[in-house]
Amino acid sequence: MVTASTSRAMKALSFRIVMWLFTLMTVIPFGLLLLTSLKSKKDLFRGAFVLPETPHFENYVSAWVDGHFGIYFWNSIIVVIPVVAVSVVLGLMTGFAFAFLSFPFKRLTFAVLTIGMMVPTEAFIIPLYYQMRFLGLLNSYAAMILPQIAMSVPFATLFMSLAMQQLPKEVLEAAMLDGAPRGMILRRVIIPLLKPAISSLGLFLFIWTWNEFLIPLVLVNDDVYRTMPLGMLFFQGRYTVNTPVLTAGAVLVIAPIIVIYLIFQRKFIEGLTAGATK
Amino acid sequence: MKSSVLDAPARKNLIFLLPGLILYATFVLGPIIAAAVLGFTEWNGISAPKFVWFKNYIELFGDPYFGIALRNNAMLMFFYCVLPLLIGVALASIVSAIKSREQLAIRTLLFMPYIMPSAVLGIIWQWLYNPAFGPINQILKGLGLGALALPWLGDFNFALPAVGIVATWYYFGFCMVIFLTGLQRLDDSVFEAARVDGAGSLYIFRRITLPLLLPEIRIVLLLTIIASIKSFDLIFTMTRGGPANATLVPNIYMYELGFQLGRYGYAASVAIIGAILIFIVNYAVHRFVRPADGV
Amino acid sequence: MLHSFRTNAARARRAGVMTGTAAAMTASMMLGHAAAATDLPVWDDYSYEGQVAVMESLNKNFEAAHPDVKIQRTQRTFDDLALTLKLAVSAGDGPIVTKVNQGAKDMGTMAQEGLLLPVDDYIAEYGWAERQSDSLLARDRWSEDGQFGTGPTYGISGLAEIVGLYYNQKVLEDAGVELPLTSFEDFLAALDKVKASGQTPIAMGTAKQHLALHLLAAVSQAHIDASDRAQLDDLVYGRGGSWNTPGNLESATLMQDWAENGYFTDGFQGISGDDAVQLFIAGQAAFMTSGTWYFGDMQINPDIHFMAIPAPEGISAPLSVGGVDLAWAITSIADDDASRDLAGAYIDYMVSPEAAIEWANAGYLPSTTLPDDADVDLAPLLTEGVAMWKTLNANDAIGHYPDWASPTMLKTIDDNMPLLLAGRQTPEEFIGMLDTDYAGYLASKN
Repeated sequence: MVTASTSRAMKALSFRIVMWLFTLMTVIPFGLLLLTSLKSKKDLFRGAFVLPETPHFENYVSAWVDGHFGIYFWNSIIVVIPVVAVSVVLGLMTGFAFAFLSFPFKRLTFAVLTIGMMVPTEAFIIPLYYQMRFLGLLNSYAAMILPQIAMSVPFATLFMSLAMQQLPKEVLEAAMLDGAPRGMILRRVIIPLLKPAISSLGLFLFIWTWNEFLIPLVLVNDDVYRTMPLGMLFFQGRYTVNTPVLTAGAVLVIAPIIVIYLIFQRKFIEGLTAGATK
Repeated sequence: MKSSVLDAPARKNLIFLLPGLILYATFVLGPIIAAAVLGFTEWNGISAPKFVWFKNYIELFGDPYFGIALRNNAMLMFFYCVLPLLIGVALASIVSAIKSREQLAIRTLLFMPYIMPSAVLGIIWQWLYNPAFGPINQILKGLGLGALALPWLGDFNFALPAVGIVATWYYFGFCMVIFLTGLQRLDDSVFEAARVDGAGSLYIFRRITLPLLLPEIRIVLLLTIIASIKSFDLIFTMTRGGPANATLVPNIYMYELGFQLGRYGYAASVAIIGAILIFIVNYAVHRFVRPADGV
Repeated sequence: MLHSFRTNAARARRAGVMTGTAAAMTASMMLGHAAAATDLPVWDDYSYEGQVAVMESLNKNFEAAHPDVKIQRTQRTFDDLALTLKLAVSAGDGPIVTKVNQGAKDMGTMAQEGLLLPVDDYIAEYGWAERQSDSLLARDRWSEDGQFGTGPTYGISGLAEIVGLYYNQKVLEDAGVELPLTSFEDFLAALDKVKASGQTPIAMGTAKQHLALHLLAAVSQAHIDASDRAQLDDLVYGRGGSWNTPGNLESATLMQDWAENGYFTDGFQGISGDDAVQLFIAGQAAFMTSGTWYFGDMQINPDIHFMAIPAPEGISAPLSVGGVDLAWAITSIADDDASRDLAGAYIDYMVSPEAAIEWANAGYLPSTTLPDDADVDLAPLLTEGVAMWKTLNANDAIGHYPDWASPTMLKTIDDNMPLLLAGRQTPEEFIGMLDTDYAGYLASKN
């Protein structure tokens, strides 16, 4: 009896260790990245795990100023905010239509929407480039914002319509009996009930838009419009002989995502898994 | 579909539908159709496209590079799908048994790679693998395992697994989190009953946990298989398909054909094959990975 | 049809710009400002820190001399430029002045599609031919039927490039190697000595950039005397020939030996060319074969020197791989005389002696000959480079980048080089792959 419980405790402990090992594996690359970003070029040759003699914060200054990350940061903000806001609104409207309304070719329309979730951007970036050129939108914020909203529509629709279908029917029926118009019901009844789903959708779209690089790479030529991940890519070509500044740039790109993630992570993961498994 | 109390005549419904659909049709669907048409042409990106009908697709079937790309992609599926799924299920069953604060911390940390831009992750891992400066080989040498300090991303045999490991690293936390919520959905009494009947934990896991987790397994398979077919950013930043095409996948090949060799029509046909593969996988997973009780 | 659509679109856009300019002029007159600016969009590939500083200063000087011109500079990396330039110019939206890679893939295609404009008028007007030798300008020529090296000239470069042998004097002396190395045999003996002393003979990284290609070409072309260069010229200019030369074969064989016997940096397959440069600068190898564009980085270590790969016996004026950096060119976006002339004036300044002095002071090797009385303070490495450039020009011994020979050659070499170095391909098979690629290109031209 005693041996059985010790062996169970041992087993639990070894499972625990395995679990933390995997967690460590996940975190260590980011830790090393942070460490390297504070080194001088000389420190680099002394080994990846060796602490720098003094932290070299000037790598960050050099990335922010010389590497133009200051500009890229604001560009990312300017692109992300409208993409997220408009996509959420459109997702609510289209999702509402798919959840509750009837219209011709509903199944077909739905199938066509899912195409957009499956075809990679690389596949249609060239026609998109010519279309933007035709519309005179190359080299503008609109060139990044409009396609990314359009690319978000399928997922936002699916996500919102699934969430709406789970709303208790009685609430909607009661609202309808009050004679409220549908737009009003959407705004006053459905949206307040869907707040958790809406915020996790917003976070998803934030992260995807923040991380997107092919769209800005091809549709925008001018340095003053480049966004963070593109700046990173560009930066790699430019500072490959300066690993510490390169890693400082990488930290600058991922820091905002980590901050947002840590603030919202509970809601985010719940929203994600709720959306994913339905 | 069942009609809802909110329904109205179709023309009144369209106002909710059209804004999103029009944007989608303009900036996504239209270009996709244009790409599909391009797949039937020869086009250097400059002069007028020339219609060649199925010539690109016929050439594709005999193209050894495309064959290599498909084979590499099949190998990558092991790292994108199978490994994260196994690790994810195993970790989730360990993590579900511990206290909520520790569980929250683990969940938060393990999920982190999934939210990162994969282009940046590729750059980080390229450096981790670097034989001259990277930490991985420094650890190996420090442990006296200098013989294992390979040039990873530059080694014919190990480049593909090395890239694959990064994909596994990227997805296992995500899988774990999904399985964890799945386990929380399940009723404890089932396990209690099995345990009372004297079932071993491995037996419980195989015969009870796994079947009950089928909806989660389905979604994980779907997302990771599609991700493996779509894979581009990680490979692009780490190896660009090298050395000597050891890590070439269809999307990288498409990029080379289009943007580097100026064969946009042929590149488009590669993209279309990729899209068709995704449709097939999607269908197959929905069709065959299906909960027995019809959940 | 498509072409006329493009020009119309460009004209419409230009009209928009004109209206904008007119409006701006009215506005500025009302506010009492002097003149409105003409925009000059320029794309270049000067992306290293030192280069960026020079470009910014040169652009500022040009704007000071042309107060009505506003330069819109877009800086791109080499790969980024290749990716976007054709797409942008063919869509009628892009730079008026751009850097463009010579060779069939970029400049050749763009010239034939009418996306680049000949600069011969400006060569005559500004006398560029007196600043740079004709064999350099020939690299920017493409005939109407797609022949490289003849026909109208589509550009001119600002910087010279020599692929040569960097060596670390201290490492060599520690290994007991006597300097200078006077023959190819000396070089091979030095490699063995360094290897025996336990140091890495050659810094190498093949994961990114093209160090291996440069070593292959540099060794191979050191086996060609300037008097026998016609065969190589024919090959690179697409006039035919075979890659199966004694020089190529020896070079490929040597490289395979070096890779298999540990003469290259440990783990070279997994590190990039830029990493290898960092290691070399840190004193972790005796030799490295690469171009003059690394001068700025290399001068950090005073032990590092630069020389031509010494020739095997019997060759008095060996070729050195090199030539010029990407050329300045005028695109079809410049569709009226005024913008073309402005572009011409800009390029003229970029290849002027004044610009050459500025580049030289920053440690880079200009392609325009420095004036004898120039006020320059050359770094030691650059002094060696300038001397080499003079000799090579005098001997007409500037070789070629093999990847210019066909649009797919760079990819073919990149794909097969790892196989050669890993011993999965014999040197003969490797050269056979180059010949196959080249034959395919010749066939597609006809």
